[in-house]
Amino acid sequence: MKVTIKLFAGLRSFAPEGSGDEVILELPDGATANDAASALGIPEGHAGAAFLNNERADLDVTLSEGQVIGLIPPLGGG
Amino acid sequence: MKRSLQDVLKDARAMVPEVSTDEVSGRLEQGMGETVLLDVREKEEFREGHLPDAISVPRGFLEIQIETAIPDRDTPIVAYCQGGTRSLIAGRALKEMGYTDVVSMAGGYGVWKGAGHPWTQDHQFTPDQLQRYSRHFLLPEVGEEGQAKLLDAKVLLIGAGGLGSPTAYYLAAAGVGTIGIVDDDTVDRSNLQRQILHTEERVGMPKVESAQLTLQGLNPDVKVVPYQERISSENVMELFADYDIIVDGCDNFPTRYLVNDACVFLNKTNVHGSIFQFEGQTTVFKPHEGPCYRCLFPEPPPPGAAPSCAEAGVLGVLPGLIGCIQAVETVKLILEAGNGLMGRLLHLDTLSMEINTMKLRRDPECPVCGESPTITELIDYEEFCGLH
Repeated sequence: MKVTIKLFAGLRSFAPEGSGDEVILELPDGATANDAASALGIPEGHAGAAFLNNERADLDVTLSEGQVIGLIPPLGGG
Repeated sequence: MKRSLQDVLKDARAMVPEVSTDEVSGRLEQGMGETVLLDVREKEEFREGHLPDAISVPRGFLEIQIETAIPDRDTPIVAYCQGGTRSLIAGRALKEMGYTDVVSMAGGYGVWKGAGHPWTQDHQFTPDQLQRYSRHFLLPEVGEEGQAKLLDAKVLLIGAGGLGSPTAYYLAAAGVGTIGIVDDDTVDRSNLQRQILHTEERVGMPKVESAQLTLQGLNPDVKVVPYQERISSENVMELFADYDIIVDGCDNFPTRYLVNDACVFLNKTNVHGSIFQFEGQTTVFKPHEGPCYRCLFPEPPPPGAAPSCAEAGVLGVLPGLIGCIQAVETVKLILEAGNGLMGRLLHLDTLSMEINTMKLRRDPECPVCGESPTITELIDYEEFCGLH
């Protein structure tokens, strides 16, 4: 299945060169937001939270074809 | 045709029934229901004392302001003034505007107070305050009542840095009466690109001292309480105890999780702001009503996952935007006005100037505010996050 991953803040650096902040990924059926993060090379614990349809979801949420998933890390600075 | 005051009052009485102060007192004791007590005296008279729960629309502004104050023309209105004359004339004007149920309290506030009926006095503003907050008084959502709430409010800012600077500036300007600021750091020249509370000549000065000088220069009304210390599990509960709202503008994860957990334990609202390079996040965490920080991010990220401003750099203007939103949300919380950011995470990207507002929910499995919390004590994460 194909899903679109939107990367925010420090996670933008994990986007493949030339793809911008929105990355289209081909993942096996049943893949989770965590699997999408791993596929982009985002180390465990760095992804923060997933957002599906602008609502927060856990990173182990199962994705489905055509979905747009935001990955937003916590920001530390102040 | 010349008409005397008596002629005018006679006409007014024909349109507006009069009720005695005892009748109004009786209605007040039974609960007024939808009836509105309308004080038509000048603001200065109202400030010196008025009937409980009365609204103030001076006679001179009656036609201009009444539709905002009382939109429904069928609302029962008891108008009163000092002696019962102005309210009769005001009542007639209301009738002419289509208000259907208007009576005037005979004898007015003078007789009311003389008879020993209950009255209240609102916050007494000084002449300087009346000038300083005049633009707030014009807003129905603030007004004198709201300004009094702001002056009575106690807000604790975590950090006098990039976020804390604009938040503190605007809260002080707005007249938030007590502003506590916690920061153990001193002013460094590299701070001045964004931390607008501080100045060149204060490099080396404790940030809380510099903040106090700036804020009291802006508004001497405001009590600034400096805490030159680092927040830890040892002092956080005591620091938060006296404050209504906590504004998190700190620069590290151990403090953010400590602030969150302490707010959950003490049931204090946490106005969150955080930044990274060109992007910022802000939301309002109201424990047990809405989600907390751990419902959003259950655990701190591992060391190195989220570099600080000192490591990764930050656009100087960015904390100005996020800190100002934190100030707006804090003022709204104090005023109980509008819709707050509770349950919504606002993510701002200044490079694309895109704002994403995402829904957050309470997590029943949240380790600190969930149904079976596993975190029941404060945690110092310093080592975990590799901060020291």
